[in-house]
Amino acid sequence: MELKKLKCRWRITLLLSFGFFLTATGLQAQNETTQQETINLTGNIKDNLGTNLEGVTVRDITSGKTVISDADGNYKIEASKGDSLIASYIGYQDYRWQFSDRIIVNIVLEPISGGLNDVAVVGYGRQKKISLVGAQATVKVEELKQPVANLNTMLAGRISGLVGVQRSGLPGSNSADIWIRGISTFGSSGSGPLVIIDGVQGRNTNDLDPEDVEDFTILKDATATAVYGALGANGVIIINTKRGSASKVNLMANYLEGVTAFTKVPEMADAETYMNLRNEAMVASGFTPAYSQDYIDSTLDPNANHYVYPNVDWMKTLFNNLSHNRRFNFSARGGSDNVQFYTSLAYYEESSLLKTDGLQNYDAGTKYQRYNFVSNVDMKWTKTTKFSLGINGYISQLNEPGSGATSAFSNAMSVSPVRYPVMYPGNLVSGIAEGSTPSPNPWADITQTGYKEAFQSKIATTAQVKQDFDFITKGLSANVLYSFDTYSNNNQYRKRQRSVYYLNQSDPYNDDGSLNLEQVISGVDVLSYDKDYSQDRQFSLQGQVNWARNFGDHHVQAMVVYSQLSQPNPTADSYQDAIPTRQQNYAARATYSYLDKYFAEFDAGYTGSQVFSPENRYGFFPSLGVGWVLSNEKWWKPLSNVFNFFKIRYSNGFSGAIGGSRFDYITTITDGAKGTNFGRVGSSVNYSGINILHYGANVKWAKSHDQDVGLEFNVLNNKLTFIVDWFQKYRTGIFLTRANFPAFAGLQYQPDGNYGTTINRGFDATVELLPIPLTDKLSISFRGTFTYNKDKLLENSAAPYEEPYMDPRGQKILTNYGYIAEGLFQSEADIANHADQSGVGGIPRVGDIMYKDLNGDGLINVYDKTYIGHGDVAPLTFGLATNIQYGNWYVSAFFEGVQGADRELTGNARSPFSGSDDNNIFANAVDRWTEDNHATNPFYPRLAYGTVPNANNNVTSTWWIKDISFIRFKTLNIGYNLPNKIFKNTGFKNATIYFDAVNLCYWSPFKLWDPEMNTGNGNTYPNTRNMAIGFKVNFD
Amino acid sequence: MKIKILLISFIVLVGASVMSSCNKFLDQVPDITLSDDSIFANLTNTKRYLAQVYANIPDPYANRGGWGSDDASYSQLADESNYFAEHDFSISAFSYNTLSASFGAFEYIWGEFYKPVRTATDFINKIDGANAREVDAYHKAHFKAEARAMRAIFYYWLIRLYGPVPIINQPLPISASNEELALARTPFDTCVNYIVTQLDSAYNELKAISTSSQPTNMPLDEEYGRVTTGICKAYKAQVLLLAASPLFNGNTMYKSVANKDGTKLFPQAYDQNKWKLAADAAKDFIDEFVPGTYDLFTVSDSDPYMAAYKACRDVISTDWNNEWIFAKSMSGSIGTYTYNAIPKFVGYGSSVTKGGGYLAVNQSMVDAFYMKNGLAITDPNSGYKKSGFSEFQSPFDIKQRTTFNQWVDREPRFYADVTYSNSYWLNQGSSSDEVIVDFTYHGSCGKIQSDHDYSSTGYLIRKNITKGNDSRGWCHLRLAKIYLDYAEALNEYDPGNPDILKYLNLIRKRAGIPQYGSGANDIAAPTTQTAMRTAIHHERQVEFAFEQVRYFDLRRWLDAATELNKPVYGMDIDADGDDFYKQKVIQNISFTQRCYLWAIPSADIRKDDNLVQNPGW
Repeated sequence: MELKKLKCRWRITLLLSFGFFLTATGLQAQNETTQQETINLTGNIKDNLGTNLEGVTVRDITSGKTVISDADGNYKIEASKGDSLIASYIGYQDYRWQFSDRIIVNIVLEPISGGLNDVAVVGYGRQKKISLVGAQATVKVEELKQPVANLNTMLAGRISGLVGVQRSGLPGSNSADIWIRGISTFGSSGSGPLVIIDGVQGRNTNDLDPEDVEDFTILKDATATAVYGALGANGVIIINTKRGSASKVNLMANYLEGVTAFTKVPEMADAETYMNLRNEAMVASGFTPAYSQDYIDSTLDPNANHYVYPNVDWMKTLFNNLSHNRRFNFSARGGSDNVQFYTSLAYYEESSLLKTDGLQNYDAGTKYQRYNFVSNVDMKWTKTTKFSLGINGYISQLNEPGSGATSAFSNAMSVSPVRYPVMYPGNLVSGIAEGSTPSPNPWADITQTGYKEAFQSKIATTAQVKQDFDFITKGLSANVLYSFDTYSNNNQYRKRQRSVYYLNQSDPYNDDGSLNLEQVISGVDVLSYDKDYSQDRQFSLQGQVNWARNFGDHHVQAMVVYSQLSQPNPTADSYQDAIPTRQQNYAARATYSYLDKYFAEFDAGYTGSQVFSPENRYGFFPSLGVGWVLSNEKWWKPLSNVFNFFKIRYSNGFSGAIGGSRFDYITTITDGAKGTNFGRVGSSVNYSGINILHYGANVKWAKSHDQDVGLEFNVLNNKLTFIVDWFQKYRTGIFLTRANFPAFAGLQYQPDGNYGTTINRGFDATVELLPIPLTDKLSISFRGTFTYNKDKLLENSAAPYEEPYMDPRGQKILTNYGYIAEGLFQSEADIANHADQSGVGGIPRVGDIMYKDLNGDGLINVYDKTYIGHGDVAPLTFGLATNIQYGNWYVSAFFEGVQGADRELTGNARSPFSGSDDNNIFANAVDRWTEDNHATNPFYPRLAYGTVPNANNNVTSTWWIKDISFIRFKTLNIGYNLPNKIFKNTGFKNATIYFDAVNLCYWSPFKLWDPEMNTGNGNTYPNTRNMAIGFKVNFD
Repeated sequence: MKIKILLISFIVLVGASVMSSCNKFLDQVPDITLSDDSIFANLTNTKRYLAQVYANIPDPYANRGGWGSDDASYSQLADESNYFAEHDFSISAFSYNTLSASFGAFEYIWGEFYKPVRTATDFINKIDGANAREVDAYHKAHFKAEARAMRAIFYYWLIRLYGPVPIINQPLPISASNEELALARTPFDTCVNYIVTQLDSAYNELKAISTSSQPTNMPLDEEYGRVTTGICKAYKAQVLLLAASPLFNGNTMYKSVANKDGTKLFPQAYDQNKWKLAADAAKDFIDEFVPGTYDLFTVSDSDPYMAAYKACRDVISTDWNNEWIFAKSMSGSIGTYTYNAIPKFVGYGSSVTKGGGYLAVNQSMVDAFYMKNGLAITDPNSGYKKSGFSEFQSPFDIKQRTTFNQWVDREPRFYADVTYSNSYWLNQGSSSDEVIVDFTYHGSCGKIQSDHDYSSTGYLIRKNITKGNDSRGWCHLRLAKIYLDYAEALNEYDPGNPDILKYLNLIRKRAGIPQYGSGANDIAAPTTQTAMRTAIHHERQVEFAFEQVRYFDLRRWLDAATELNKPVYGMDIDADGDDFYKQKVIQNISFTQRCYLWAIPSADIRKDDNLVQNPGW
């Protein structure tokens, strides 16, 4: 640990030196003056989009002199040295400075956050928020600082239109699935958004430390995404890292230390429940019971020999109640007019809740550590030339048990409490062998199998030159961006399979009283060595020309951009894979606005991808949007007291999605097919077969036709803002395997093509209350988001169905297909009177699930299945964040909710005793139908043992579709800003002590496990609850 | 300053123009991916493409009680053996008759048999154009005949399971419209004619190129498993016997099954001549190939009983002996099969190979074996004792051992085929204790030792288990079957023909049991056609135990609904000591009329408007 800290310090020093070096070289001598009398101060005023601002009031506060900037944003004012000046403009923050040496002061006015002149991130650029005609939403990451290693997990509910689910809490892999406006596609095509980080695609949100992110934007409709052409149909996420500012250097340090715990540990049956229920299930299925009463008594007797009568609580054995995490951030931000920089270093570590075996001389603990760094430098080479260099990256290290930490949880849940003891005396691994494979011993898997170390590193660099060409024509500029990213992952395995023993059940003791253990697997105690590695690289090049100009009240802006991306795979195993994955994109945008009242925008992308066949290589995706700010009309005046701002907008356009894999258009054959052997013992030949690997298909992009109507209005003196969007996405040509090719055609694989169609409609809304002072000390703000979508599959190339209710067309994309449960058979008469259920796969017994005979033919079979449930991605997501500031204290809380998602239970959550006998069961298996208790709506129907006795109940049906809606108290932050007087003369600017908590608790009708987990039987590493105390200081 | 700006502007503009000239940027195509032209460019690739036609021949060694790789568990669908101890094996759904038309096995086998059909057709279409410098005329003709015969055999396997199926003459194009794909089932007799014609063609093609230096009745280049003239003729006899059998010959159960255009799919009138065709085909085979190419496998031993025991034990495990006609050559999956059948053996040292021991034999199969004197156990003169114990030395044992009387003095095939409790194990390893199979509840292979690694009936399959686990072939068809096919068919259209007894007795003689006849040690021959039929059926049950014959025989004879509706009996594996030997019902099973034919996969029924389903599904 000491060493780690030293490493930390070394890194900070290095980064700082780097930053200061750039600062020093970039600083240029300022124009100086020694005159005391009034002199002419001049300069240019721009907004932060680089547009010259006309009409800005520049006032010398000392002398009271006032001037207004001209059409080119230039001003000239007489002032004396030492005067205080202020530049102010409606919608922008005042810019104050004191006249000391400089006589040319160029000013960039920052818009008021949340105000009308605020700047919004759009594809390949920025725009004034008021001029947006597409659907877009931004979140400032200041709100998101949480003690977790990645950003994605924190976003659901924060931004309207974004749907996210956190799937696992395992350190190093606790990321979330994210969708924009739900899911509009199916089959093998990805449904996730395109992510653009610092202008470059192919980068991963998880690679960034949340502290380094400036803003996070999602583009939701075609007008916003058309410029990304065939890549934009699933929406786009744009993330920008922090950059420097022309100000004094601000240093920030932040440290937090936290604890983690599972949000919910599935409750598994104890030994008594397990044995009794298993006996019950076996008897009910015509088997003799597995455990005699003597055996049960001995198992439950605390004084019995539990090597012979095992009784293990695997969950308790494997997992600690608490673990910890830790984060340290340091950043420096500042600069001059000519050079600005942001540099940062972050360290994050998190341990899992897995226990380790103190007897082993290696460390199999699961621990994740990561160092992130960022260096963003912007410098002016000339008055009109700006150069930016951004470097960010990380190194991380994950240590985990040899068998992997992911399986630990499923193992702990799957092995019954009475199957074998944790270990046999002498630290011998207990277990049972199925052939040459031992059944998992959960404890041995995490403690006896050695360990794995995974090292990852990533560096992303972006260099950009921007040149103003005002001297050619006003408002013209161009920039070129080049980026190079590299990632490597290196795993080292020190693994072993130890010998496994099992007690001779008929003769447990040797003559000397020791255990009569049978070696079922012969293994070794020595750790082996193995490794694997992977690498990624990508190169991206982008050239852009922008032109913006005012003609009186008309504002025109145009942009064309070319970008290309090449992703070689240096560690590919085949030449085909080694060919770099490439794409090209041409995009253009033209916007027009009149008096900030009427807006029109045309966007288009023209994308080429080598996934497509040569004749379909390029796709064109145009889009048009219009906006109207009614509140800027004269006749709105009477309404403006209520609606301070009112805008409507509409967009209509196309974007695309790439499906399928590379070279799909080529028919390929493999010479590694199954083939056959000929010959006989002593002289034989093996022929690996030659076979079709893939039937070439004339594939192209899927096309999404998006429409969006947006309404934005502000009330209460612009303090309360509303943004509401209705949308429709109609996607055609979704890449699919052709589903209606009968098997008798003898195809090796079904051919692919663009066959799918979906429609997705919905609306999303944001309500934001900007901070309102209630008393002079107390202020409150909140932000609510709401996202609803309803998707529908329209075409999937499937053959017609016998019954309309069997057809997935017209159903939700993620819905399940199964029977409708009508209750349980309570008597033999019920079975006799009901439709014949043997077609389900089992012989129905009393206490089994009764299914609805949808086609009324007296038989329950495949023709009685229909679409049930919505799937596990919620149609409705909402979030509510509130901030309360009281003096130096602040409290912010965030609640996230989802409604309408459901999940099909599978495995032992559905059929406690089907299939493998070693599976443990959930503790709630006691809530079942029994002979003595003819419950009508228990959790489980009558228990059964084995595949076929369970077959009637162990099928997809509404019985097993469980509502996984939830409301989660996602975050709570309480902080105290230490009073400034404390640090007078210490160099500190301010300091905050805070308490952060994530995933505090949730409310859900679903009780078995954390409803966000992507599992039908609970056997993945659960989400964690994090609580941390931290300290953050800023100093100049 | 101006110069600096101009310089940078120049760089920016050049950079932009460089990028827009990258029009070759996306034109990268892998140049080393095999294209389909390369298949017939050389001999190696041609052989490998042909190998893919053979690839889906079922491999029963891979059998794990379900369908998913290339296994086929037909023995467990009959009244021979079961996987009841393995509660999670889906195969039990057959025994319980709780299947739907979308059951995985129906879809899997359907697709796996049609894939080689397509490949073979494509192969036949293109082989003539193969590079002549590499693939000479002899090979072209041979390979074409192989593809043709294998395609016919896959069709035979399809109609044996599903009844009439679509016969597809040309590969359906990838771009085919839904209408082009809407094929109807081909009537059963047309299927049979097609298969027979194709096998005849293949035979003729092979015969035409056969020379003394390169005969085509033996495998080319010693590559056992390739199609030969014998295989063509043997399978012709198989398909004709299937067509003559009650299931498809005048079976009124299927009288209403017709395509949408009204074409009846099943022949409705009984045609006795079909038996003659079947008998003739078998006789034709025998005349041409026996004994020159094939003969019954025998082992010499001074003790005739031991000779018979060894012959019956080894006929199936001696790779490609001259009784074998067709096999899945050199299966690598034998370990799976033996694991299923080798007992658990808890308590013996690591030198003793241990298995899962759950591939159980049904009591009905055990009871089918004759006594040493050639009589069925139901015969009052057989000397069969239902209870009690005797000191008895089995042919595989080293000494006398206390043996349950039911298992005493049975015919050699019983000892070759079945592992029973308290018997000497064939592989003693270096164990200091005698390795004895013990299926009683607390025994070394008893139920208490494990959750599912035990025999549900107290018996395990022993046939085809040897000391070693080396790869060898799985025999799909051997000469003994042709003999009994011939006897069966002959008895149906020409009862009393002396060949019936002759070939039936050849099997009994090799099995070391008295023959039917009037000689001194003979058993009185069945006198009526019916009695003879029963004798032949019984002989087939015993001779081909666990060889995937019985399931199809019971269906062919329309006996399955009777035989496969009886409860499965076995020893009482929940008991120790003498109680173990009390027979009890292990499982009730069910076979209804619909089970005579597998369901056409419901997915294909849905995709193809013209494809009609079998009755009951």
